[in-house]
Amino acid sequence: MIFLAMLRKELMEQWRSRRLVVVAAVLLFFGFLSPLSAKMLPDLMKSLGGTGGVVIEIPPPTAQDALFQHVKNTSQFGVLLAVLLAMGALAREKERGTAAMVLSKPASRASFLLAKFVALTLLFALSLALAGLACYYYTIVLFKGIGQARFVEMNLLLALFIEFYLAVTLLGSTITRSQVLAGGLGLGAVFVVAILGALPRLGDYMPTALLEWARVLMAGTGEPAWGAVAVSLAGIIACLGIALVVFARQEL
Amino acid sequence: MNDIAIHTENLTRDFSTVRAVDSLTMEVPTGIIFGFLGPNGAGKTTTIRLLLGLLEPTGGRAEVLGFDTRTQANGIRLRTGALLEHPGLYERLSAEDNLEFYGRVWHLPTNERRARIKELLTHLGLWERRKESVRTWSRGMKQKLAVARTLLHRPSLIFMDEPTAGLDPVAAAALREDLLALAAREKVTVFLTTHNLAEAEKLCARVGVIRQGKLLAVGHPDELRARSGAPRAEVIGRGFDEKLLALLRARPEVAAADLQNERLLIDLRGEADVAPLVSLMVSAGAEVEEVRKGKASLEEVFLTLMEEER
Repeated sequence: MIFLAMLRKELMEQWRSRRLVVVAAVLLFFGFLSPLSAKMLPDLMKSLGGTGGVVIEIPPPTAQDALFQHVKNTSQFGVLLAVLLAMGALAREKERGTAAMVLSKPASRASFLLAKFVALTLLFALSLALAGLACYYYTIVLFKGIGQARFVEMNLLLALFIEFYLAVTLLGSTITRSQVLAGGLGLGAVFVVAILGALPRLGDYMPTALLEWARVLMAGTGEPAWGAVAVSLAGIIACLGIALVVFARQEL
Repeated sequence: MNDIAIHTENLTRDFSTVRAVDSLTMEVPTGIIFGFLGPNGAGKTTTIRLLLGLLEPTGGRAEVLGFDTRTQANGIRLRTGALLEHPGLYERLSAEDNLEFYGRVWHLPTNERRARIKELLTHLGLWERRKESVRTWSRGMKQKLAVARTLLHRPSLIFMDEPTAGLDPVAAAALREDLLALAAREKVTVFLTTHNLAEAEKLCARVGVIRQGKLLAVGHPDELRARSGAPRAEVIGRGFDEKLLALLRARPEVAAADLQNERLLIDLRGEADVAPLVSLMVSAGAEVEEVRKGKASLEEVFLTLMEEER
């Protein structure tokens, strides 16, 4: 099956180019760091010395603080890595002529594009899983046990959030021949979604609401953001659909 | 088997206001190396992309191996190989991984794929270095690997877009030899674009000359040379002056006589003998050291065609 051949090639390239190792290492680092920094924060503040007579009361850190840190760090760096990796996915191949070479064979454009998306998804799924395991382990070591099911749900929301930007940037990489422009489109989407996410009502449906849900999930408070889940999924499907249509008509 | 590998009828392609290929009508017989010659920007690469179905024609039509480029591009891609302007290799992967990938895309069974990879890499002298990352290779080696990839699935027709461009003379000569040997052994038709006329003269059984998207001439290199005019004599020696040139020009068998860098160039009419002209030159006081008689080179034909079109 051509799709599997292309997926195999994508995964092999991720491995040989060390992209897999870099993304996994960065997210794993934050997986370890988040509970650790939450635990050490009060001690760090104390060690900074006097505050000019001002008394700052820092409540004792909890497992929730560790998980909040994890959501914040992983979403920020995860999105940045997603944009960096997806921006060249197609644009680079068009620039270097490899896309024309592969597609001058009986290979479907849909397989070519979807293999890239699936490979990137697997890369981030693996990295997020490793980061999640690290965070989970350190949180129960440093604090106390946390709800496993909710922790998994929280990570799924994080994965969906990152997946959304992967799809948007991949669309950018399909539309343009320039990696920089594709990256610009991805980052542009991050800012636009952040601005829209800050608006009342509309914000509840933006992918940014996924992070808020992930945060309150562990606290057992707040409302689920199913609207944001639906919008994110629809956004991913729409981006892939448009990318497939554009790529099918694109001259290489 | 179809005797015609490529057939085009008024094939035309525009890019906004520029006509890259203009009413191209030609046929390429199977089993030969066909050279498609033209200066940069003549429309050679666009023609290949049209023939592979990577570009839609603006007008006209083309058939490759009996398949229509508009509606049966997959049939064409299954049976052809292409080496386009970029080698199109995945630089992070090894030579073997690159060929493995393309072999899988062509659905070559595992055993056949491995045997074929070994056969081609061995033939091209790359087998020992198959595990190395392609990005560490020289341009010549990458180009050889791209040739191997092109032939991997035993296509009956291959397109090669300036395969020796950017290679040093040694690497280019080696690649040319490999190409010739492989094309003969694999019995494939080769559609080769180049602006290297010496290369075309060495490799091609038939050539087409294109300029600004228009096909100016097509035929065997000898036919083109013959079409460009009668034989020419080149005389090396001393004492060539205007008086001698006038004497020569007055002879009925001489179409033109000119002095270029102390070489006397005489265009002859028909199959005229050179000996009487040499006698004339000697009797006029010139010293003749060497006389060469031959037809115009393909390069001269090409330049003449370019000049005529202007």
